[in-house]
Parts: sequence; structure tokens; C-alpha cells
Amino acid sequence: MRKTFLFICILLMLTACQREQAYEPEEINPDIDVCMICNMSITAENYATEAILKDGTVHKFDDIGCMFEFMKQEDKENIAKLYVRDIETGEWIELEKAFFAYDRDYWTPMNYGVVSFASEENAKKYIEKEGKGQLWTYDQLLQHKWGFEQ
Amino acid sequence: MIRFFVVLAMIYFGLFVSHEAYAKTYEIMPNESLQQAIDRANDGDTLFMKKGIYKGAIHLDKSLHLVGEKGVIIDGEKKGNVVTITASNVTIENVTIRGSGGKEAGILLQNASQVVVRNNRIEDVHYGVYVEKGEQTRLIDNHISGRNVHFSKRGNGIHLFRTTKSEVNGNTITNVQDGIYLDWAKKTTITKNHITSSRYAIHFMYADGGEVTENDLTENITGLMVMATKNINIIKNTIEKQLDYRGYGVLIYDSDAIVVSDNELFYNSTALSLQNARNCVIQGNLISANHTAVHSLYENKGTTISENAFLGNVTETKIQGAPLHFDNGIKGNYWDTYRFYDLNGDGIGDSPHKIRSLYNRLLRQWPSVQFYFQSPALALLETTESFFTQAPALGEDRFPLVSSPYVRQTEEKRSWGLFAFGSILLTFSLWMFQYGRRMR
Amino acid sequence: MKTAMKYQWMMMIRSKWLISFGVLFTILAAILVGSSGNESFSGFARSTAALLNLSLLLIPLVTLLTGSLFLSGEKEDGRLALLLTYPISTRALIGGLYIGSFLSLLTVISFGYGGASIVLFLIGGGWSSFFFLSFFLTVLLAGIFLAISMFIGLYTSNRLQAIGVSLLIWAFFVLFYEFFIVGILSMVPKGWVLPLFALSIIMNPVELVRVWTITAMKSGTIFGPQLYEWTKWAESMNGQFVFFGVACIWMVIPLIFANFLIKRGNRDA
Repeated sequence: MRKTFLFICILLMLTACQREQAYEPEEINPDIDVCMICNMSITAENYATEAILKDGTVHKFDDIGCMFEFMKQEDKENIAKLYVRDIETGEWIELEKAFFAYDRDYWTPMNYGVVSFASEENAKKYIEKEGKGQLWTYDQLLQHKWGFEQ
Repeated sequence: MIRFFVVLAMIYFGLFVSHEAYAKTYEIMPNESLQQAIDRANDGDTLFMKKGIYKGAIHLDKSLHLVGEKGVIIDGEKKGNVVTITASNVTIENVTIRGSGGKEAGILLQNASQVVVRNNRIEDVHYGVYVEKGEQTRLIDNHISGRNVHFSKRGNGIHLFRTTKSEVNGNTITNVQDGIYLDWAKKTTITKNHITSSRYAIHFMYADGGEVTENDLTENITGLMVMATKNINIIKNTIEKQLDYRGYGVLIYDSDAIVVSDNELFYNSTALSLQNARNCVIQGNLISANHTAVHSLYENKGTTISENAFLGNVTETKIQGAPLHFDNGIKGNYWDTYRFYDLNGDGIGDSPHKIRSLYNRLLRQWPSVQFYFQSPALALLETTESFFTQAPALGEDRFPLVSSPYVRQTEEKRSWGLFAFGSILLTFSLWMFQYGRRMR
Repeated sequence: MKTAMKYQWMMMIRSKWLISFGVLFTILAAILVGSSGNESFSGFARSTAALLNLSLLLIPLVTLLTGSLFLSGEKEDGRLALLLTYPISTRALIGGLYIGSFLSLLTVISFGYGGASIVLFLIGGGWSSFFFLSFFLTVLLAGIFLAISMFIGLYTSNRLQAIGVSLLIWAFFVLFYEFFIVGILSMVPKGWVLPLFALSIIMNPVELVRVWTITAMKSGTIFGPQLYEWTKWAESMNGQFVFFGVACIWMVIPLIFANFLIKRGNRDA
């Protein structure tokens, strides 16, 4: 009986540790990962985004637009962290800290036209390279009316 | 009257002369520059290419007819698109096209209409044929294969972007990302293509209108991926061995008025998945030997599933959304697991086929139950449950058919291997019995 | 050892009970495979799933019952005490009894599979390498449960007790185990799912054989994408070897315990 009790205690402690752990983004595996919203397999890995819930569930999306679609459906309370990637370097960044570029003609997996970057510099470089688009901060992104660009 | 004859004569003469003046055929040797020959030619001319390798990408901006002798290769030397076509009424036939740049196509069509691409072999390219806008493009009897890298790094076999009335016929496509990708394409006909070893064999995105008939889609991740699309008829296709983790025969997502009829969906992970499929008709298909026959998610308004034959599927349904309609009000489906009789002899079973599954309910609560798919305990429990409980049905077929609408032609394949295996074991066991009995 | 083996073999193979089981298994297997469509694959399909489930349900039950009943019966009737007076080591005795019983079970399973194959051949079925795989793994499963049953037979004091314990163990391994695991899984954090599944396979021979069969057929995709990495490993050569290793451990450990029991009993006597 004492052993069982001890075991449960250890279990609980481990669980607690697990809970406190930072919500790190998971690597994308194009073999099996599909966008949770649109069901497409994630092939453009650098355009992938992730939402990590408080219970540790990782939801993956193929386009930042799909993640916003998900955020509309899900209770804000459940979401622990939201991640996007720098589409040039593949570095994971928290959504709030990222910089964005938008143009309706940018290619993105679901044609939402929004791309994300780790720094303002990278975003500017991309806009320059593409010859079009505008630079957005997180707050400006929140103002955006999402939709498939036709 | 005389004036009429004069006009007629002029037209006739004009046509005759124009043929004489413009429609010339040039022969080209591999040591010549193909691009220069194209530049020299005029609209309507035919360029006949002699056997050999033609190096360098080409650009067709005139209405030419490009034909190769057997063994003609156009090698793009891994730079850009190998063949770029920007004029209408171009025909390209009997050539091998290879070596596009990293993200480019074997053949790129831009704003070109009535182009015919026939009987070519397109290999070692990112995209096979990339069609950007244009009407009545005809892609016929081509062999397209992509590079040997992971499918996330490959391009599509045939990519139709904002095209109208394209025709894709008799092509063999392997080893690409998506076999045929319809991106805002309208009224496309896709017939008798054979697509294997790709991610999605045919992928619709915002497409509208079209026919998909008699294609053979085998061993891809998903056979038909229909997304945000409307008015497509999917008829008489063979869709088999989509056995991947997320393998689906046909997946209809957020689409309207898709007709799936008379297809053979055979040995897939999931044969048919409906996720917000509105007003779709699933009729007369043979759905057999799949791990899961029908999967549903969300609501599928106005969609009916009728007159299909469900034979030998490991599980018939995995319903995670609103209940489905498994009949059209007159006829239902044939289920080989249906256990009631038809005593009044009208061809319809006397009791509805109710779909309820403990496994489904458990799975919804705990996705890890997937690990126990068809395990002995769950299988036993499901069978027992189907006999006794009154759990709410996840779907109902009110008019289950008692005989299969589909007669599958079964070739008699009596296997002697089986006989040998059986008789060896039987002889062994009988000998052991005898030996054991005689033993002292 | 040879004497013990022969004795056990002779006793078991003359049991009407075991023979009727062989016939029953044949009939059930033939009905199941014959009625689940004529598709024959080397992969996971309804017929293969049905045959696999039949083996996983029946073989442990029958093996546990026959094994434990024979031994506890011997014990009750005092014949075991007689055997113990023979000038052989307990290890040889246990080994002999095990091999003798195993041979009889092998005979019955061969009869079942052979008969079912012939019936299937007569109604025009096709050959699938699954039959061989299934046969091999079923024999292995019988081997594992036989070892467990010998331990039960020696541990319990009479036939009734042996039946009770055998049924309990069978029900736990075959019927309740999965729900038990799923219950635990729903309580622990997500990161533990994989190790727990791995542990759950090792801890239950029925699970072991089920997962082994499916991965050997390269049909591991049915386990779902959450277990992608693990399935890849399980389908690889390494994974298959580990399964084999675990199966061997499951056979040896109960026998060692049985040996220990007899030795202790000897000393007491």
C-alpha cells in the first residue's frame, strides 16, 4: 500500500513538472502532419504555424490564416502559446513577437497572403525582393480581415 | 450571283495560297539550335525534330507544331522551364522533356489557348506541365514523373491554374507531389489517367465544374482531394491502396454538389471521408476491403449515400460529425454485415441498418484508442453491443438492400500454395496424434 | 527429461478435450476466413483481422486451461509427487512437461490451421503469407501462455482453483487490459503516451503478438499518425527482433518461477 502511494506521489510530481515546462514548438514531419483546419498535409514546412494548448496538445497549421481560423473557434483560455516561423530561415517565433508582410499576390499554402518573419529586417528584405507588399506588426495583423484571396 | 462566285473564289484562293505560303515543315537536326529554328518559323509551320538530344530551354511564342522522331530529348540543363509556350494553337508531340530548374516546369503554358501536349515523356522536373490561364488546353497520353525526393519537395504533375475547359486524358503520372492539381480551374475533364506514388492523385482547390472519369489512382497518400470546390462528377474511377496514415480514397472537404458514382474504392485506409460536403451524391460505388469505409466530420448537409455496396470492410463507418443519411428515401446500401431478413421480398431489408459504434464513441473521447483498432476486446465488445444496446445511432440506413447492386468479377484463383500449406500441417498433426497414441 | 516429456505428451494428446478444441478451432477459422470476402492480401483486412482475433481470444484461453488443469490435476491426484521421485532434476522435469505439452498444443494448432486452409482451398480462397505468419505467432502465443499456465498449475492447490485463476488471468490479458491502459492514458500527460504504449505491449503477451503480427504485415499505419516514429521502428528489423526477445522472456520467466515453486515444494515435503 505504501508503495502504491509513493508511486502515485512520484507520478503527480512528474505531472507537475510536465505542466510547468515551457511549451516548445514541435518539428514538422511532412509525412504525417496535416493542417488541423484545412486538412492539407503540410509540405511547405516554413509556412507552418503551431498552436500549443495548455494540456500540451500541439495543433499544426499549414498557413497562418488557418491558425487564425482556429483561434476563432477555440477558447482563448486553452491556448498556451502560438508559434509562427520565419519563412526564410524556418526559425520558430512567438506570434506576438513576429513581423509580417502582406500582399494579396504573395504565395502562401492557402493563399491568405500573409507571411511571417523573425525580424523587421527580414520582412523588409522579402518585400523588397518580391517588389510588393506591406510590412505589418502584430497589432496591424489583428486588424486584418482574413479571407482567401481570389 | 457573279459577285458571290468571285468572293468564293477569292476565299478559296486565299486559303490555298496561305497554305502554300505559311504551312511549311522544317526538319531539324540535334546539332542545330532549336530556338533559332523556332525564331525563323512562322505561325502554322511544323518543326520535325530528328533523333537526338537538344540542349537548352526553348520558348514557343508562335503557333507551331513541334513533333519529335522517336528518341528526341529536349534537355533544359536544370535551368528554368524547359519548354515555355506563350502562343495559342501550339502542338507539341512525341518528345522527351527533362531537366527543369529547381522549382520550374517541364512545360509551362502561359495565357495560351488550344494548346495540345500529346504523347510526351516528361521527367526529372519539378512541375510536369504548368498551365497558367488559357482555354481548352489538351494534355493527352503523356508520361510524367518527378524527382526522387520527399513529396513535400516535389512539384505537381499537371498544375492547372485558372484554366477553363482543359482536358487531361490518358496520362501516366508518378512520383510527384499532386498528380493533377486544379487551382481555380473551371470545367476540366480528367479521363483515363493513371496516377501513382504521389501525395494526392487529383487535388481540387476552388475548382468549379468538370468530370473525372475512369482514372486509376493507386498507392498515393490520398486519391481524390476535393477542397472548396463545386459541381464535379467523379465517375467510374478505380481508387485503391491509399494505405498511408492519413490515406483516403476520396476526401471531400468544404465542397458542394460533388457526385461520386460507380467508382471502385478498394483497400484504402479510409475509402471516403466527408467533411462539410454539402449536397453531394455518393451512389453506386463498390466500397470494399478498406480499413474504414466511410468517415465523416462536421455536418454534411443534403448529402446522401445510397446504392453502394459495402463489402469486406474492416469497419464500415467512423462517424465523428452529425449523423449521415445512408439512403435516398427509396433505396439504401448493401452492407455485407447486415443481419436481418427480407420477408416481404421487396429487396429491402425489414429492419433499418443502424450505425452505432462503441469504438467511434471511445475514439472521440480518447484518440489513442486508435491503437486498439480491431483488437480482440474491442471487436468482441462491438459485436455484443450491436446485438443488444439501444445506444443512439450515428446514422441509419432505413432501406438496406439485401442483394449487392454490384457484382464484382472474381477470377477463380484457387491457390495450390494454400493446399500445400494446409496438407503439410494436417499431415504433421495427424502423424503427431498417431505417434502420441501409440506411445508407451 | 525425455520421460517427463513423453509422459506429458501422451497424456495430453489422448485428451478428448484438446481434440474437440482442435476441431472447433478449425471450424471457426474456416467460417471466419471463408465468410469475410474472398480478397486475400498480405496486409490487414477483415479476414486477417478476424483470424488474428480468433487466435488472440481462443489460444490463450485454451492453453491456460489445459496447461494449468493438467498440472493441478496431477498434483491433486498425487501423480506429480510420483514423478518427483524419479531421479531427475526439477529443471529437467519442468522442461520435459513443458515440451510435452507444447508438442500436443502444436499438434492441435497445426490441425486447426491445416484444416481451415484445406477448407478455404476447397471453396476457392487464395494464399496469403499472412497464414504462415499467423500460424507461427499463434504457436508462439501458445508457448508463452503454456509457460504461464504451468506456473498457475503448480501454484494452485486443486483443479477448481486452477480454472478460476486461469480464467481471471485470461480475462485480464485479453478483455480488460486495453480499457485499463486507455484509462491510465486519459489521466497522464500527453508526453507519456508513447512510453506507456510501449510498456503496455511488453507487459501483455496478447498485445505483444497482436502488435507484432500487424507490424510484421507492414500494416502499422492503422495505429494512427500519433505513433508514427514508433511504428517505423517496430516495422524495422530491430523492432521485430525486440518483439522476439520479449516473447522469449515471457516464456522463460514463468518457467523459472515454476521451477522455483517445485523446488520449494520439494524441500517442504
